[in-house]
Amino acid sequence: MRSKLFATLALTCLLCGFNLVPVAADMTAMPGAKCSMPGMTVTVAKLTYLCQSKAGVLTWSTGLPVSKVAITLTDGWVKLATTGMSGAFGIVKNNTKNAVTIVGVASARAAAVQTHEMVMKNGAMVMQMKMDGFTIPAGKTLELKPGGNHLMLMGITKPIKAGDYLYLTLTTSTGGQATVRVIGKVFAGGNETYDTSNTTAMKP
Amino acid sequence: MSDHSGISRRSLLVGSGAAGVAGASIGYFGKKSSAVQSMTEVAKIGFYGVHQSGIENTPGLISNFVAFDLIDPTKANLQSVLRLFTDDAARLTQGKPALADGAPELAVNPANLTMTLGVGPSLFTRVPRLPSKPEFFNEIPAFPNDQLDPKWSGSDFIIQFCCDDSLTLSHAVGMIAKDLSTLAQVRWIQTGARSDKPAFSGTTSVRNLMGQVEGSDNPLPGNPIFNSLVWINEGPQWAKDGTILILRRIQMLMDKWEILDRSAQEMVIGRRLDNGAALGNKVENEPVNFEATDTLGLPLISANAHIRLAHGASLSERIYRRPYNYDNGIVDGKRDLGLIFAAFTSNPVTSYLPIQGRLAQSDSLNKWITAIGSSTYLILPGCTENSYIGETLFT
Ligand code: HEM
Ligand SMILES: [Cu+2]
Repeated sequence: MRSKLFATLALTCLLCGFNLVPVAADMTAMPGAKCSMPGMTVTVAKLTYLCQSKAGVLTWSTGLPVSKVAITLTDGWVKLATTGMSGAFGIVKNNTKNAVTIVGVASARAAAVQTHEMVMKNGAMVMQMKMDGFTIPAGKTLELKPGGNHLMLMGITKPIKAGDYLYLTLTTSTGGQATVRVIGKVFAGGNETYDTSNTTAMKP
Repeated sequence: MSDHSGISRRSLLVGSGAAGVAGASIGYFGKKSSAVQSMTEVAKIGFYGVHQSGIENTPGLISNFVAFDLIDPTKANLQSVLRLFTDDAARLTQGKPALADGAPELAVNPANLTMTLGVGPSLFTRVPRLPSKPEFFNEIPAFPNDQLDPKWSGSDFIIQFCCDDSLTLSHAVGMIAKDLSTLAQVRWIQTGARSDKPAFSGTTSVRNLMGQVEGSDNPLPGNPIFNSLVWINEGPQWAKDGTILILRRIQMLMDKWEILDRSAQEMVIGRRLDNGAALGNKVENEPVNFEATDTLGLPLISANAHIRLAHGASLSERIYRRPYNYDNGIVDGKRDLGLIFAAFTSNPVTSYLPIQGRLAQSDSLNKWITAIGSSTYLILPGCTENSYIGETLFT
């Protein structure tokens, strides 16, 4: 079933300005979708598949049975962007009695949405993909903000304008899903540098 | 819909239970004797409700009337403006930073901030496929003595900001201007202020820059006729529970005014300068007797006195005034100051226009004032937490 293809992605990072390196993508046969970027999710026949990097190769996870999960996002907003990347922020609350891990995010307005964190590298704060997702303890909140943890919209499909509503579907490690809304806002900050060196799949 | 926590000038004036209502000696700043007190004092006005805030509550001490035009007049862009406005106003008026607030610390003191949005008649010609506007909602025609300057007149929409703190006000205006910057352009801003002190002990009226007591005969919220005078209850459904704002920038010709002696100044209005009593009366609140004459049989309130002509011929021919003073310093060697006349009415055709018609014709005051700006806006109805201001235009 698996056919390995190499696809070249030339996304320009809106926040940091440099081009993402061409990606060797593993295009596992999923109906209508290619696993071309870590963080992508696809839901088919009540199963959600996550695009993950394993030993430097992008592969779809096994299907997680979709259910609803009580995660909410308040104060949600997304930075305006015409192409490329943009950051989405807000306060995510885990309203369940167990810890949840957000491992995938999807939006109709972006090719992929990744979970990003800020780390210190060579004396500078850079953002990078958080490969294991965001874990939120039971009943607790996680603040997503410029300069901290955030959601990264990659490959924006249609310009995000001021006042636009965007819907993001958050998927947990157990297949739980919640759809949340963010609003497009003018914001000058949040121009972090994107470090892709930990995103192992992004080697040619 | 208003929630006034803590001690505020408002609760003192409105007298919600407090003794010594509106005594000049217990004014707003008098109460805020210590820094500690001002840090803990949270004076805020609820945002959600049937009507927008910024109309029924006591006006904040300072105001900005910010007029905007849509850059690209589409329905979608208007909707974005209204969503962003609602989201920002719901937060900022409650002392919370806006989303993506560049200076969140400037939002923590709500200081009775209100933010109120109204749409201009031009919006309905510029934006395709909007529902039609009420028949009674149009630009106010220019009156013969007006010298209207486009830089103070008209726009697609307006936001009225009222507040008791200049830092909070600046922050709110700046935040909105930034948020709307890709959608709308600011056409003009009128900044206004009101006196913090009642005109004299025991009144809620304040003095304007001519020194007159203003607000004596004004149907305030709580008045049994206020609701029908102010809130729209006819015409298209989307405008119901909104109101119409008439905003005029009226310059006071102070050099000329100061030449008049006090009794002449009092005759121009028909009320006393010291305590606002109508001529012939002792106190401000006494019903005005327009028939009263002096010993020679001459009317005490002259035929052309401002209050005689402005007085509604019927109960429905009345408007609710909520004005601010403006002072633009000295321009070309002359003081540039006056009144930002802001009046609210459910139907200007039956209330405002007849009044203004009489004033334009023969008001004594016309010699000392000139209208230099004029705009009309339909203040949209209020909204709930699950909607946004103006949503009724899209359903
Ligand atoms: C710079 C311009 C103006 C000044 C200085 C001014 C001043 C005053 C003063 C001192 C009073 C008496 C106290 C009170 O009831 O508030 C008054 C009353 C009033 N004014 Fe004006 N006014 C101005 C413009 C206007 C305009 C443009 C209108 C409306 C078209 C208007 C409508 C009224 C009305 C309805 C009253 C109450 C009359 C009554 O029923 O007794 N005023 N104004
Ligand atoms: Cu990022």
